[in-house]
Amino acid sequence: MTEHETTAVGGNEPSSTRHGAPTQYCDGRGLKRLIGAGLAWLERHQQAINALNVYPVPDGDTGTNMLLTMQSAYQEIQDSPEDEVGIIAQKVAHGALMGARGNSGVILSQIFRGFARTLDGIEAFDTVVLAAALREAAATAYKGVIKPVEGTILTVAREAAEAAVGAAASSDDLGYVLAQVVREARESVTRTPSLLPVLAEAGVVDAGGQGLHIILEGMLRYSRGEQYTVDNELAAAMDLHDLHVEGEEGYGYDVQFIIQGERLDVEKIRETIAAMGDSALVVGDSRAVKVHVHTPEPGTPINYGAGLGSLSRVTIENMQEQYQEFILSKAQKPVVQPEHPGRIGTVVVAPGPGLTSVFESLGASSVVSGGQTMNPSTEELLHAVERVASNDVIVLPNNKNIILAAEQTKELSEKNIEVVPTISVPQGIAALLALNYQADVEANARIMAEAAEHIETIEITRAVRSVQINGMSVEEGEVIGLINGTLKLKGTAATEVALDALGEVHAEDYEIITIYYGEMVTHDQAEQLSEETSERYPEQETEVIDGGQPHYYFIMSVE
Amino acid sequence: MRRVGVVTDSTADIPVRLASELEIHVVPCQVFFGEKLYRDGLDLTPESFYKELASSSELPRTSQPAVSSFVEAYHQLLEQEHCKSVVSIHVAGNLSGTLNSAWAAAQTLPEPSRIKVLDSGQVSMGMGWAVVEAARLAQRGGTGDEVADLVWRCVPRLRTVAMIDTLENLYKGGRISQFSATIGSALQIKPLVSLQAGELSVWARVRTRSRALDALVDRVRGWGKVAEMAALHADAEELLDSLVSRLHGAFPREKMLVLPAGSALTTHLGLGAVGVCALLEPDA
Repeated sequence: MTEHETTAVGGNEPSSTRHGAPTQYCDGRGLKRLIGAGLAWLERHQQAINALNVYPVPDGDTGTNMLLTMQSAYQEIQDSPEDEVGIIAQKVAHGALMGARGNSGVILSQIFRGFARTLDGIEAFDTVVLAAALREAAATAYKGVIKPVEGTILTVAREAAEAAVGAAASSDDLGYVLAQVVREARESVTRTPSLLPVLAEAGVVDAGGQGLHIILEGMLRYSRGEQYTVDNELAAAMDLHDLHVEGEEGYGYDVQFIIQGERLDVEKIRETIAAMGDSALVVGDSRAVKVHVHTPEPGTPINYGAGLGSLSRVTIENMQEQYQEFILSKAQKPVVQPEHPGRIGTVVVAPGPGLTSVFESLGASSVVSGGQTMNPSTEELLHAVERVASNDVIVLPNNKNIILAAEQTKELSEKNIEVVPTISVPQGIAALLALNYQADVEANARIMAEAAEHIETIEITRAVRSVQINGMSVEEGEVIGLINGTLKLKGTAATEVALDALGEVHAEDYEIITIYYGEMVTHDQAEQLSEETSERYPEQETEVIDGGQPHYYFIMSVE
Repeated sequence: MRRVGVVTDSTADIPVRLASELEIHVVPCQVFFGEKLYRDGLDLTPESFYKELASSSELPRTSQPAVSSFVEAYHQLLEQEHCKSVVSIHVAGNLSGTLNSAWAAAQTLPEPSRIKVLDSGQVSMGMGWAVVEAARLAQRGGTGDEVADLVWRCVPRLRTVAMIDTLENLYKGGRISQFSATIGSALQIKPLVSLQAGELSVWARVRTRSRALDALVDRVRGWGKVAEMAALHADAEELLDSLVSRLHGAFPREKMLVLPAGSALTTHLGLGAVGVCALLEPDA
């Protein structure tokens, strides 16, 4: 019976004590190994978790966000010789919080935070303390979100913790308790579609819940003697700042990895990879292929490779340190605040160079690059907040998957921070415009939130997966139109879907239509949409701006 | 018998009839369109100014009145109309050199102390209301000191707020630099500005005219009791109508002065601007 198999989660290698008595205690070194094992297992399942995304829009993927969060947590303890489990747990919580990306990453960081709180001052935990810590972990996670939703990672955390409490009451074997926790987590994940209709409609389980289950399962597998090592190269290459700098023409990433699979077509892989960047080098045979390419979008070849087999030895390196330094110096340039210096600073998240300059021209103190597909971490937002030459700072996340990470900065900074929960770029622009330098930061947060609500946002993008949602059936690759974040339209041409969307929001009742066109769209295509818009809506002012955002053909506002 | 003469310059935008009723002596500024010289308010009406402005490639240059115009005005009031003193109220000193011209003119007269040159810190009817109050007191027989004192007490109660429709004039006039970072150049922004103590500052930024009007009305409501109000437009009559009807609750329409902005205000704010100039009640 595996349930009562002896496990060692202490400083010794598991194999050396497998024949001994059941493990009753776990110290700091043991927890470090468990975290490493959870990370390694999550790494292997990253793409599978990403695929659980309900929405067809290109968005910050849950698997990637949780992985980056876990990596940040693990980096914090990787070289720590600490024995005391309370101290290791504290470091994990800190690392997870700093690296938290996306809603799932932030909730994961809250789980670690609650876990660490219970273990404070404890040398090594037993089953009873573990159960208490998991309970506190779940409770803290619930408190971390404004409106907890069941059928998510929260439910999985809570039910897994309850299983731990039950198991700990009857056993002092950590391996047994962990097995019960994982079993319940798995079952809880399978129940998520019955709690959250949107999951049922899309035919998937909750991605965040699955991520937590995978982390726990990795820990259990390790405790049973399976070895999964963290790819240190990957962890190093995935350094948050490296990843964060957006690749631009000529300033790309050096991406390398090995695909292992069956019947790999080397020639076809070479052709495909070559189309994704420069200096492509693809060698190997039908079972293993080594890939090396310089590309502005490191995710593209990696996702492609992951679709063919399992990836290993993944490294991503920023090719131009100088360019990175340039970006950093740009980010740190002094902010011009001519009217009321230092009164209220603003940190906004924006994708693309054009939108960045729009925000800068409107007086944003700092623009953090990010948005769809790349959610900035809590740490990046925190750095931006700290750099602003003002004690009062308002943060505009401009994406619903960044709001929670932005909220975390409040606890990490001494500054007086307000987060205005803007979910789109046009909302962010409306909010920033409403900033009143004469009012205090709290009043501004209210004024800006209200201003953001008075705007209709249209986003035109391409479906990245086929799903059934909001009663619509969307095929991967189709052009889709979202109105205020909800999928409403689909079609084959971006311009046509954009015009349909304007009809849907009754643009004729408004004054100004603003079109921010993305990097996939040429200036001529944008002008064409602008002309057709002006023809259909002669009474309205139409303004076209080169937003340069990735993935989204058009982001439009009607006001 | 009027003992005090009241002088202002044409940037006050005081309607001709009101000025003559209250015996206000208005000294015209000079406006150059290229080589053409106009005397503001005399041979240049707001309407003809808008037309010239829209068709002219370069911004008109508005120039302060010549010192001699003030000398003539003061001389006429003191010598021919036998006023004991003159109160001369002018456009904000940091917006125009008019104040200096008036001061210099006063110094050329035998008894400069009989002329009190005052800085309104305002422009258009923002200063116009202080001039009107001064003239009323002068007609009631107030002394020079009393009238000057009243003006000083009015100045902090003067308000000017406006919506700028296009930044083109601010660019052309080189005034954009002080605003550029707060207005935003990428989008069509309608800045809402206020003039206080000669400083034009942006207090809000919106993108639609209807929101601009809402914001102006909110601002006016926030003032409390208003004694006098003027609503002005720079060639934006329709928009002004809509502003005036929204202001109705804040101030009785029949008491409101509705008029086109003159060359000075229009040059500063650009065509399409609408605004409100008011004098608040002392206890507001």
